[in-house]
Amino acid sequence: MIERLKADPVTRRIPVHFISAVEDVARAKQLGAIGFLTKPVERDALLDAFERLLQSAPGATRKVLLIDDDPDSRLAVGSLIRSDMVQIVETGSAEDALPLFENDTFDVVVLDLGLPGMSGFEFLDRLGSRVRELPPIVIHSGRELSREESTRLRQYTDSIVIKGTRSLERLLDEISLFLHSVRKDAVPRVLRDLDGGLAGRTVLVVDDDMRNIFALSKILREKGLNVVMAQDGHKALRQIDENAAIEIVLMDIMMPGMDGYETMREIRTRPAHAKLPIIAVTAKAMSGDRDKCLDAGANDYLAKPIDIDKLLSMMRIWLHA
Amino acid sequence: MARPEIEDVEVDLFMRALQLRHGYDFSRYAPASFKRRVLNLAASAGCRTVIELTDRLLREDALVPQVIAGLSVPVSEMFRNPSVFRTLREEVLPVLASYPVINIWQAGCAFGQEVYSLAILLEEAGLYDRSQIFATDFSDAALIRAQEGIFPARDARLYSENYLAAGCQRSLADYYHARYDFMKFDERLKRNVTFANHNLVCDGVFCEAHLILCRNVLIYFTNELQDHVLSLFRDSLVRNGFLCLGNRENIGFASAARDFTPVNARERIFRKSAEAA
Ligand SMILES: C[S@@+](CC[C@H](N)C(=O)[O-])C[C@H]1O[C@@H](n2cnc3c(N)ncnc32)[C@H](O)[C@@H]1O
Repeated sequence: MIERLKADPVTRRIPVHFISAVEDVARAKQLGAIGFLTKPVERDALLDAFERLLQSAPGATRKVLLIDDDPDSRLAVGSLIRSDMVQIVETGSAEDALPLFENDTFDVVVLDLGLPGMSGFEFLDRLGSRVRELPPIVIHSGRELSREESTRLRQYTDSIVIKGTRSLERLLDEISLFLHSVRKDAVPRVLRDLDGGLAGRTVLVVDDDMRNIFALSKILREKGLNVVMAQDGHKALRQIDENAAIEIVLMDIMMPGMDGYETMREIRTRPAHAKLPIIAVTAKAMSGDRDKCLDAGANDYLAKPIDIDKLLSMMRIWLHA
Repeated sequence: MARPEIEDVEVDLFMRALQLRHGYDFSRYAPASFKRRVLNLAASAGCRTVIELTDRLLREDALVPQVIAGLSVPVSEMFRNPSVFRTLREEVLPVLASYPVINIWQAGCAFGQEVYSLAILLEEAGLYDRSQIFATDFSDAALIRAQEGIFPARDARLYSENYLAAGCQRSLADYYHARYDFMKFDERLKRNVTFANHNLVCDGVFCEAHLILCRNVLIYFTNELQDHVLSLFRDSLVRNGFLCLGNRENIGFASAARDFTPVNARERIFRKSAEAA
């Protein structure tokens, strides 16, 4: 049987566990089994065997790290996701959590923001500089967040849940998405952009659309760019005034408050930034909209949804111009 | 082949002129109501025929906003179909409260009655300060009116009744000042509203929305255009985000229907399906 399974390319990778009345461990292993049990099989041993099967199967046991200083909250979340398939590791502080990443990986990290000691924000910054790729993060916050805070978090995750009457169902939903890896967020790491000359350059992304912030900053960072963000026109102007490193701007047009046109006009009134390359990004499709962007001071124009390759080549051109 | 009526040919030419010269595409609007609108427009512009109106449209760019305003049907009221707002308040807002920032797109906002209703709903739920409403329409004239927030005083009674029927907690009068024949809504209600021109026919995704309200707009569109707009909504919504349509509208026949699951079918409230990522 096992010989046939292992010979067929379709079934070859299915983990096989032997349950046999005779003891021939060596032979079973030789044939490619990962474990061996002799009959009569005990329930516990069987479960154990299943666990091991799951580990090596494509949908192996998932490891969840819960970082929350409140034991009750850890209990609540833990019981929400408890299953044989899920292994839960708990810590009460970010300080305790950091070293865990040295020899362990997690499928999901559920992070409470109201930690004593090192804050959740600091934890993410530190973790980001330690590991090559951040694990999926779900933020669970007991308090409301300011726009700045959520923008900052959106660099790391788009799963942010504020505690409230209906929040546990959403938390479960966010966690289980990662556990069942429906979500393919883990963008494969692209090689550093060696030829393109983007590495080390600083780009300001002005956008209030959180998804763009999340997706763009991820991609641009992977190209080795330094990404600075502003979620509205006023903040963009402040960034530009204060941060001399900014070499190029991606400007969303439709933003609350000061819109992209107005922001670009403001930027152009500053003599120091008269030549700062600005690429306008807009959801509007009519040809008049393009002219409006250029009139307001944009150097170039890109329609949404953003075509990343096009964006990158545009950025290369304007950074070399 | 039967000869088309002259009027129909004229309406068709008008439509083509509007598209070729000014970029507005009405080819996927429901023909009967579009024709009615165009005939009205010609009459109110003092033109004897639609061709005459078309002639002017080709030469006078300044006529465009007026034409769009005439083709738009900005009929609305505050808390229109109050039970919808009640359901939003009781079923939808508590879920939205779990997001740090709540983005709501109100597509086809007409003169803004729905925008102010939403702002009040959010205010009373204690969520307005972390909410952002994008109120869009393709008619600049409507958007200007919407930003003013001024409505005829004779509507106050209906609006107040609707407000109460929606289960709101205070009195509508807390939010407006009556002046002569008008009521003007509190400027503060607009503090988190962005009014913007957006044409559902050709413009793309511009925000990440947790809730989209687009009521009594799809009825003017053919099934094909409805389908297109629904996929635009799907792409704009977060996973599990909410969509609320008008009470005569549905997504049953649209191929985008598989992207949404009804939450409250009677009130036409749907959620983006998890698979529709
Ligand atoms: C009947 S009103 C609906 C008002 C409000 N939503 C309500 O239900 O009370 C329809 C609105 O849709 C707008 N509209 C029609 N076609 C549109 C399009 N292609 N893009 C954006 N708005 C459009 C019209 O300008 C008009 O203001």
